Parts: sequence; structure tokens; C-alpha cells
Amino acid sequence: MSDIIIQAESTGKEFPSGDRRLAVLKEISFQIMKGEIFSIVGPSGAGKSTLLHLMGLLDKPTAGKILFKGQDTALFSASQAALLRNTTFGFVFQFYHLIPELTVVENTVLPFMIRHSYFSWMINKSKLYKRAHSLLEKLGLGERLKHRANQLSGGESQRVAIARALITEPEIIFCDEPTGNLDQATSREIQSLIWEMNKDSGLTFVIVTHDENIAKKAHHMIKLVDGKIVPGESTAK
Amino acid sequence: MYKLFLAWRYLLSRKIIFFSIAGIAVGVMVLIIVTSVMGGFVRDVRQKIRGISSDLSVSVSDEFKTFSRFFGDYKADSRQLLDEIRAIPYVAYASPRLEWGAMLSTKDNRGAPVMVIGIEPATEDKVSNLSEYLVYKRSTDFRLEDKDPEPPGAIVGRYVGAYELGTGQQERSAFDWEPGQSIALTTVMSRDGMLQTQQGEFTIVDEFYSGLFDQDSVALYLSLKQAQLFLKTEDITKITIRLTDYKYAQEATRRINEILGKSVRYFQIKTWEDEKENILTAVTVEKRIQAIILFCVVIVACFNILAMLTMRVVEKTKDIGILSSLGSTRYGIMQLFLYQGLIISFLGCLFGVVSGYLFTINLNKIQFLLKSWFGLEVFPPNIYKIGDIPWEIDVPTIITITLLTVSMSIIFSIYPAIKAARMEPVEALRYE
Ligand SMILES: Nc1ncnc2c1ncn2[C@@H]1O[C@H](COP(=O)(O)OP(=O)(O)O)[C@@H](O)[C@H]1O
Ligand SMILES: [Mg+2]
Repeated sequence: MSDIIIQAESTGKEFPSGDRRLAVLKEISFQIMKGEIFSIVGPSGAGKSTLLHLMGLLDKPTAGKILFKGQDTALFSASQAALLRNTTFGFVFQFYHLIPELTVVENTVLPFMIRHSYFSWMINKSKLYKRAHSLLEKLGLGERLKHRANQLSGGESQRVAIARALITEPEIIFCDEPTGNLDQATSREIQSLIWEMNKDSGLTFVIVTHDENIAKKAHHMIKLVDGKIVPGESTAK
Repeated sequence: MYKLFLAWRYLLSRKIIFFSIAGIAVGVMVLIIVTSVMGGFVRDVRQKIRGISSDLSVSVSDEFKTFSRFFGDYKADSRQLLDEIRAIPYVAYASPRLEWGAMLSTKDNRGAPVMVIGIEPATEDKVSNLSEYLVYKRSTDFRLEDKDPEPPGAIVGRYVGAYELGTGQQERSAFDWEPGQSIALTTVMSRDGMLQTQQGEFTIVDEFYSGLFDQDSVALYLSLKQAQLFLKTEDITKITIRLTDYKYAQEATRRINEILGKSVRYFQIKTWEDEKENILTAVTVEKRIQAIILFCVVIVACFNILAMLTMRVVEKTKDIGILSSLGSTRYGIMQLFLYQGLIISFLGCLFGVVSGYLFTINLNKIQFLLKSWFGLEVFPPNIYKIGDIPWEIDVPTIITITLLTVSMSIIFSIYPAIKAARMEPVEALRYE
């Protein structure tokens, strides 16, 4: 049996809306294997982002469970969840979500800045900057290191966001419509980057997408409509 | 370590924070200038009072009684008491005084109430610095042009007879005292159950000018001998004492108590601070009140920080989401905003302290410029005999101001910081 990294068990999520409660996710169950590319498709408003946030410990389900490596994530404390997000998870969002006041390199090493105390940051700083430099060069951003994040194009911003997700060498990367804001050529570049990294280092990806291509190429996929999995069109267990 | 780093970057990216820093800086600067000037003023007033005061004084409680009389079972003999006090080891010098209220009148029929103070010139100079405050001769010999004048000499306070027209207007209005001018004194005393009028004529030999209006407007010094002749008594009302060191004040007081024995309750033994307690506390209280009022400027500046940071939290909603997705805790987010408040107030204090210090030490140059450019007189010199604006940089005061300002701004940063920490990361991340 190959390792299950994330498992949803009848997961549900409701949001208060006025005096009623709006069920955004209902009875969601699936498994994500270590080392696979797992995609979530569905129309807008189906609950894809909400599901991704639950898996990334940015929010909590109101019903059922999300298991991470077999452990119920509901039992994690806030600081355990924060630590997991910092060391084990990476996030890439549709709108890149870089900090505009920081340079490309600073944005890239931000997870380490959050992790380290002043003292250990001082010790590790030059090593981590070097790591960021070579990673950004690999992603074709070698010329942009000292630029402010708000001076970049969409494709460049998304590559910085990917660098920021990769630099901590996480086990799983959550992508929320990573190509949703990019033109076709750039979108294809980002896709091939993801598949390359998956092949080279066995990194697990969870990708929320509209893009049929990505969904087809993924090892497993689920389709969400109105907060429910459509069984006929999903290939995941 | 991202909190301080990011806080700094956030602040640098917005020019508007310089207004917040400037707000704090102005508040701190004004506080430092005003407390320094008030401090200098308190110090000057103290020094002046100190200059004309003896260390200790022994006086009869009821001012219509003199020393040498029976107090119950105790016969007070002023000469003997003076000798006994002089024998106390801590006492360097002791001098007798006779103080009595009287009316002064001039040849042109103008009058003023005065406090007649009979002093023994030989010992008085050892006990107080009286002669330093004399305008013409700096000597308490009561002589005029090296002769004993006839009628006898008197030293008059500069503002005796001055109209109090209100602050800034106490010019030498009523009298223009000149050595050689003659005056008459009148007083009443009760003797054998009858009120008796005493009168005497005197020649002004010098002017007394301490810069303390309440002294300069009533004091009239005579030699003790002449005062006793005028009041038809051999007696005194007060003994003034110079100690070998002021730190022995308590010990000396105890010794004098012992000498007076049971009759101590008829006497008052006061240090110079006890004696001038009213004016000393008045100026100190004024200093404190000024500081409290001015601290409101700092509080206003802190509200400015509060408003600005609250705005920043809303602006930075997305960043809060990003930071939590990268592993920041809520506590970390809170610190990020607290640090911003802290940096603003720290920089504000830094600029405020430096500019307040520079302004204070150059205060008199600035006043000179104001005066020559705009004819503006900030500190009318004739009231307090203060030519320059006094100031005193007091480090503990500056430290207190800084600490209060910083803690104030931390308190005012708590609300936006908590608001930021309460933010749901998911909400923040959902939209661009
Ligand atoms: N905090 C919230 N409160 C109320 N409704 C919400 C909240 N967050 C999301 N929703 C609703 O949940 C539904 C699913 O949202 P989302 O997961 O973003 O969809 P998707 O990513 O598939 O487009 C939407 O209808 C959205 O309006
Ligand atoms: Mg979405």
C-alpha cells in the first residue's frame, strides 16, 4: 500500500450566512497519495478553494475529518498547524499573493524568516539567501532578485510564489488555480514546471484548476459541483 | 524574525507614517522643553529663596509675643538662648532678628505696608547671603557714604510700594528708591493692655532685590539696635542659624528642642524649606500640572498611531493571510502590528528628545532672535530678576517622558494588533 498523505472522511463545511447556514462542502471523502499530482476541478463557487484551505489547515471542517498522515488535523493546536504550514506545506495562489514591500529574494526566504528567531536567522541568513538565489535562477528569475514584488509580470510573480513554496522543501504543495491568471504560454510553462518537480523529487501537488488539460494529466482528480463530489467524473478513491 | 523586519518595511513604504512620528516627536519635544524650563525655574526660585534664607530658624509661635518672657515654667532669655544654640556643635553661626509689621510713608505722603526686619549686621552675613542681594553696596553696615546717616539707615525692598498691576507690569512704579531718601515708619504695639503707636524716621541707604517679588515688596531692613529702639524693646522674635552642614538639620532641631524643654510648644523650629514650603510646593506643583497637560499632546499623537495602524490592518488584510499560510501564528501577526506602533513611538521619542534637548540648550539664543525679529518677549525679566530663560535638563524626567510615551503608544497599538490577529486567513486569501 502506497502512503496516504491526506485523507478526507465525510468532510463538510458550513458558513453562517444571515441566520441560516450555508453548506459549502458536503460528505467529501477521498485520499491523496504521497508523490502524486491530485487535481480538483469544478465550476466556480463549487467549494474547491474551501476544500484546499481545509487541507492546508487554514480553516477547519464543520463536519467529518481531514487526516494528515493518518492523524486527525482537528487535534492539532494552532501553533502545531502553523508549524506544519511553515515546514511541510507550500501554497501557490491564483493571485500570487506576494508581499509587495519585499524584494523577490526576500519574498522567497519569507518562510524561513517566519521560522527562525533573530539569532538563528543571523546564522543561517547567507546560506538561505544563496539557496534562494539558485532556486530563483533555476526558475529563470536570476535577473530579478532585487526587484520589488510589485514590479513583476504575472508569470514572474507566479514563479516567485512557486519558489517561496519550494524553498522549505515541503512534502506537499497546494495550488489554487495557479495558472488562472496567466496567458496560455506562461500557463504551459508553469505546468511543465510542476510536472518536472513532481517527477524529479516526488513532490505531492494538490491543484485546484479550471484547466481541463491539467485535470486530465493529473494522476487522480475529483470534480466538485455544489459542494459534492461527482462520482462518475472523478478518478480518485 | 520577520516581525520587526516586516514592520520596518511596512513603515518605510508609507510616507504617511512620518506624520505619526512627527506627532510623537512634537509632543515629546514640547514636554522636554517645558519641563526643562520649569525645572530651571524651580531651581532658580529655590536658589534665590535659599540665598536669602538661613538653614534653620527659631521663632516664637505667636507673632505678637517676643522671646524674653515667661512661658509657663520657662523664662526665655533671648541672649542666653542664643548662646546655648551657638554652643550646639552643628551650629556654625546664629543671629538674632526682630521682625515686626509697620507702615512706611514717604515725604510725598505715599505709604506702603512693610515687614521691619531688625538684623545684627556682624552675624547676619554669616547666616544668610543678604548682602549679595543689595543693589548699591553689597554690605549690611547701614552706612551712607561711609558715614552713619542721621536719621539712621534702612535697606528697602525694591518693590516696596509697587503697584501690583498684574503679571509683567510690576515696574518700579510707586517709588523710585534712592540712597539718601528719607522715610517714616509707624507701627502699633499693645503694652499693658493699651495700643501704643511708635514712630521713627530713617534714611534709605540701599535697596534689596532678590528677584522674589513677595520678599522684595515687603522687606525693610534696619539694624537690630535701631529696630529695638524704634519698637522700644530689648527683645527679638527670631533666631536664624547657619549649620556647619545642612544635612545636620534634623540633629540640630533635636538639640534645640532639648534646650527649650517643655516650652518648646511656644516656639517654631523650621528649616528653610519648611519656612518657604508654600512657594516651593507651588512652583513644583505648577511644573507637574504643566507636564500633565502637555502629556495630552502625546496622547493625541497616540490616537494618530491608533488610527493609522487600524487603517494599515485593513490595507494589509491580504498580507495577513499570506503570512499565516506561510506559518505565522496569530500571536506573530499581533506582534507585527505592535512593532509598527513601537517603531513609530521609538523614532518619535528619539527625534523628540534630540530636538527638545537642542531647543532647550539654545533657548536663550532662540528667544533673542524672537525678540529682535518680532519684538516678542517670552519671559519678562523684571518679574523674576531672570535675564535668561532658566532651564535644567533632567535626565530622569526625560527617561520618564520617553517610557510613558512608548508605553502609551503600545497601549494604543493593542487594538489594531488584536484586530489583525483576529483576522481569518481564509477570508484574507480569497480575493485579490
Ligand atoms: N466565509 C464565507 N462565508 C460565507 N460563504 C462563503 C465563505 N467562504 C466561501 N463561501 C461560499 O462558499 C462557496 C464556495 O466558495 P469557494 O470555495 O471559494 O469556491 P471555488 O473556489 O470553487 O470557486 C461560494 O459560494 C462562496 O460564496
Ligand atoms: Mg476558488
